Amino acid sequence: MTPSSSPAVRVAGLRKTYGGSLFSKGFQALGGESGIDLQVERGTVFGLLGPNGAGKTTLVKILLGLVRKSAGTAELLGEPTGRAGPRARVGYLPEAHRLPLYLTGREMLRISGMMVGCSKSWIDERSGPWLERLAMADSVDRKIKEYSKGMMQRIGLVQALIHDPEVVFLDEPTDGVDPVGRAAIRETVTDLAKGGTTVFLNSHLLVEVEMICDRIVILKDGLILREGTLAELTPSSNAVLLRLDASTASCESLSVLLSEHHGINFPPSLNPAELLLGLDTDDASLNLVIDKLRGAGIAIHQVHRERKGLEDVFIELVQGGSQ
Amino acid sequence: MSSARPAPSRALALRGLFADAVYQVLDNRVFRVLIGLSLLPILLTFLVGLKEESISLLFGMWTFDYPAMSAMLGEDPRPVAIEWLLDIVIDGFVGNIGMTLSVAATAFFVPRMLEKGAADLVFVKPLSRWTLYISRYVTGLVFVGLLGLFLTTGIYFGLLLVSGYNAPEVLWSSLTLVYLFGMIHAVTMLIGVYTRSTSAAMILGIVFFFGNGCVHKTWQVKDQAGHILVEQMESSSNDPESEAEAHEAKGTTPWIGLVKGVYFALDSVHYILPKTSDATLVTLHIQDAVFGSGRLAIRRKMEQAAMEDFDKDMDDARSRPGDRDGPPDSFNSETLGDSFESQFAWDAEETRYSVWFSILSSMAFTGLMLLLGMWKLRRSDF
Repeated sequence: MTPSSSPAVRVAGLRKTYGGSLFSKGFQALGGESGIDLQVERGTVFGLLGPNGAGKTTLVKILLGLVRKSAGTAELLGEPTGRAGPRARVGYLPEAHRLPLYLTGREMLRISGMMVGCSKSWIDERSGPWLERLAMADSVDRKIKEYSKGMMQRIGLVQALIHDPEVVFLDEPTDGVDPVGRAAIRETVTDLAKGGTTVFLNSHLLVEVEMICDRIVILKDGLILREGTLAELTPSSNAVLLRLDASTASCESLSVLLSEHHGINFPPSLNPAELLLGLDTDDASLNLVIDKLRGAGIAIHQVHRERKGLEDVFIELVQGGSQ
Repeated sequence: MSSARPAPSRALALRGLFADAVYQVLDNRVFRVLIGLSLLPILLTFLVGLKEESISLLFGMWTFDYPAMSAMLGEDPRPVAIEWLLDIVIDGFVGNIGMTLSVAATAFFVPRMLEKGAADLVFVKPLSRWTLYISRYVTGLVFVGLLGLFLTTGIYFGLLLVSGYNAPEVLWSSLTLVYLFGMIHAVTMLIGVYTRSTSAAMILGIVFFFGNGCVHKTWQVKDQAGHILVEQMESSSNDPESEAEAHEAKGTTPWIGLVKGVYFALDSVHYILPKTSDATLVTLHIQDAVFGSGRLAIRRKMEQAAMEDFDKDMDDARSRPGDRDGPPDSFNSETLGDSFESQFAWDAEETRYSVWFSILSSMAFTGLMLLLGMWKLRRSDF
């Protein structure tokens, strides 16, 4: 596989042990006994989830050559990690980063860009739109030590993107950012993926991951608990809730009308004008029920099929710990 | 967004790295203090004019004759006076206080680069770890080089404008400072990479600088005068003239072994460690070899004058009435041999006095420190 057609990230049997010696086994931070396998295709937004200490940051750092792996293989853009070549095509916003406080935002962007081999003029040309987009254009000539946490996060994101990377690793990118800034960062990530950039997102904010990630991996204790698309991780259930117009229906009339259907319940409704009808049914039966209701002149306000949220799945997996 | 990315340039990456280091240095308070301190000797050359026949203060408000040693100074006393000035300013003031402050100002280079959160941003760049490490080393040298150049250029112009004496050799003193700092900086960086602590790098770097200086100075004293002590101990133990001396010799014998052991240890440490004390002489030899500046000859004159003073002091001490335990007769400039400075040469017969040996052994030590630092950095996780 040539580097250009290879996946953005490929990991096989990857393990990391800290502090092992002749007399102690050390701390197994990633991969357990068998190691982890993972592949991230180009142009996707990949979400990495896990509780604290799950090994998310360790995995990212191994991919970026910041931490040495103990066993297995890890490739970034088709080349073994640790090499300088692929790192020139990567952007990184670390968690709890320490930007150089002695620089202004603009100086930091220039130096950061130059360190990946770009000219100052090219960086200046490119930085304008990013700064506008992330609402940093007015603050870019101030010293970084004067920035708020959210501003540091946003200028940090610009430095990760300024050199037009093929893969961007974002570790808690919205940490400390206000809701408007968060929306801007989410939009940026989505647009990056549309433009063909691979985004590797490490976040505790499951709602964000749910909103923007194409594929998600849940890690715990250095092992992959679950991997898949959002739909695969959060399959919909048969539970359906219908909101009906209370002036056109009553519990009694509905019981009679739907007598042949099982699993009917009437959860309490806070709105007296509404009648809630709970069903446990598949799509085909649901359509029959809707036909009957409409045939009886009952007005339907809303049909909602219940689905487990990513947060529910995450908590279940992490607390259960089973695969 | 906008134009496509051009092919990455390694030269630009290195420039970025260097620019980052320069900004760090300029932001450093100790650097500003050093610039302020550098102004003092510069100011001195503007306030004190070294004229051919006299010394003038405050642009001629007061004038003084050259001191009594003027016989040694020759027709134009200024070269010796300038050498004396450089000896005090560069070897004394800058070589000790300035070097200590320079170590303090640059000790943070490596620990700050390795701080959690900062290391991630630096080491993710497409630059090898050894490039990052060496760039920090070079930045330190540039830092001291610029400070030295500022200082020596200021002194040069002070002498030129106020004393009317063109002394470009003054500028060479910045090379002395870079050479000296190069040895210490490699050690400070190694401590920084192992401890990741600015305080530890600073304190241990300064301790190394002064400790190393002490070792070489002690070795020089031992090399010049140590044999006298051994000879005295041996002669008194081999040839006792009286019963009392024989009794005393019995007690002396084991001490000879100890003294010889200490001498051996001192020799070993001296040969291994970088020769910081030779920095001035090494650069003077280079300057003399390349430009034939004649500064070494002036230094020798100054050294000879100092030795004459030494002999006079020894004679005075011996002739003091009632002073039975005065310095032994063998303690004079003749038996001590030529001074260290006058024996130190490119073609010295003995290795320990060779300029080449001094340079190469110092460079070998510095190189080893850098290699150890790079090896540690290569094996570090962030």
